[in-house]
Amino acid sequence: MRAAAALLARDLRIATRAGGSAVLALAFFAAVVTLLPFGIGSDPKLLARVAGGVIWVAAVLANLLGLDRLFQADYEDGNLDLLALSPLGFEGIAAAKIVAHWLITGLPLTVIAPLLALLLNLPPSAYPALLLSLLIGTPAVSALGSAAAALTLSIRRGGLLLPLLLLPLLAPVVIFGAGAVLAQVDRVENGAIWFLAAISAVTILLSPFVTAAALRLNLSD
Amino acid sequence: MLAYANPQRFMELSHRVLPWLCGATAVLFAVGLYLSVTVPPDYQQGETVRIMFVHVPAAWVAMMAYGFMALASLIGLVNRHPLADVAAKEAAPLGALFTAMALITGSLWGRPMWGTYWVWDGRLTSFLLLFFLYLGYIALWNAIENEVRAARAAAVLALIGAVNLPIIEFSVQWWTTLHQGESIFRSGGPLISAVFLWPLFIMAVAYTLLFFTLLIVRIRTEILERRTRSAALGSSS
Amino acid sequence: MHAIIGIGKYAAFIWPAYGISAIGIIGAVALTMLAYYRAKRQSPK
Repeated sequence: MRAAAALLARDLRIATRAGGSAVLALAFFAAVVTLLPFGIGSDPKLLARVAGGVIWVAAVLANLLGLDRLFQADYEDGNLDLLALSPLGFEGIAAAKIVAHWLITGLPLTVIAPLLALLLNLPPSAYPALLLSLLIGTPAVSALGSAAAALTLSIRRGGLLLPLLLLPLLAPVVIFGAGAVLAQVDRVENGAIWFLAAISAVTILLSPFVTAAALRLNLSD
Repeated sequence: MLAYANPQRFMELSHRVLPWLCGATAVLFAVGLYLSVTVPPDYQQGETVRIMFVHVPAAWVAMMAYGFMALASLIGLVNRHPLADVAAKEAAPLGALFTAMALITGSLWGRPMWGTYWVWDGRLTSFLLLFFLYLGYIALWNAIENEVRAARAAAVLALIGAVNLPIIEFSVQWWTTLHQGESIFRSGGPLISAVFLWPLFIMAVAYTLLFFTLLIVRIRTEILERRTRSAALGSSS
Repeated sequence: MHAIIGIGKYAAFIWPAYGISAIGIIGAVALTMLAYYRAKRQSPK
């Protein structure tokens, strides 16, 4: 447990340094959302309807941004081999990395999402759903992302491959995440948030083991 | 089953089976095609029902190929079996091809039926995602140089995809019913009457046999290539 | 024969569907065979 906390603390320290990946992901997130009205026009009604979907898609893209570096720095300088020998084991490393990735990207994205929703004219009644869906859904994005990042560990330009691997796998999260927000815009009950919670729970529970398997196959021969 | 999974045994066995498989595939295609163009048109779909005879079998093989790939990946991971790895690897491009064929013929069927080439219909959309799953799998295989690592990484990806496919299918189904009324598109598709079952069935078997014929030849190719490579390595060192 | 080729107003969708399928299948068979015979030629013995 202590080892996991130390790993977590170190990753957070690196990411929050000036110019670290945490700030960059946030800036990217804001930039994508800002770009949208230039593409589809500024009609407030239209923006209100697409706000949830746009914020969700932008959040997923921002999550992919630094994902290839999740294990790569530790892999290249040999830290990963040392970590594997620690009592943490691969599962522990994977879990700590997933938590770190979420704290660095998922949580800040969730916090500033209402601000961007304001720009997109999201009705006030939908804000709780937006926050809740991001809070529940982004950990699943980090969890699936870490598994894919571990799979592409030994590929030099793995970052280019990640979006292709993750796009079909993340579709359900986007569908239910944006669906939960849209339900509040349209004032209907569609149960999306429960499906999102179920998918998220299963993904988070399984991901450390899948990620650990992927790390193992990249380190052993 | 695994007793035949030795590459040498596979080469001998497949050498004996292949001519029969090729013959059966050709005969079934001839019969299936003849029936496909000669059955009377459907009273509801009209002549467009003929598109079903090339669309449904392609869609069926596209799904079956993923199931086969996931199963071979599992065997490859658990039993560390090189032949299973090769089988999964060679199934992927075929699966992607049949998925693309199902998508294109599906949209050609959709144009007269729905009035547009593409609707975000549940089946079409999940096939599009299936296509991306195949592409990701193939890209991962090609990106990792070490053959053993590539096989294991791709196998893990195939299994992640296999676990996710039902969730993807469910979410897409849920999403399409949310965004479009059931009145426009019947989600189950129109029922097909008995005269069409025969050509459909024969074409489905023909497509399935074609998949396995191509798969076996591709596996043989890969085994031959690996032998050549290891022989070259042996003589140069 | 005319009835088969000129199948009503939907011929423009039916024949492309068969055409695309044929191209896909024939292409896959041709590429597979080509790769197979190349591998066979290059393999030792």
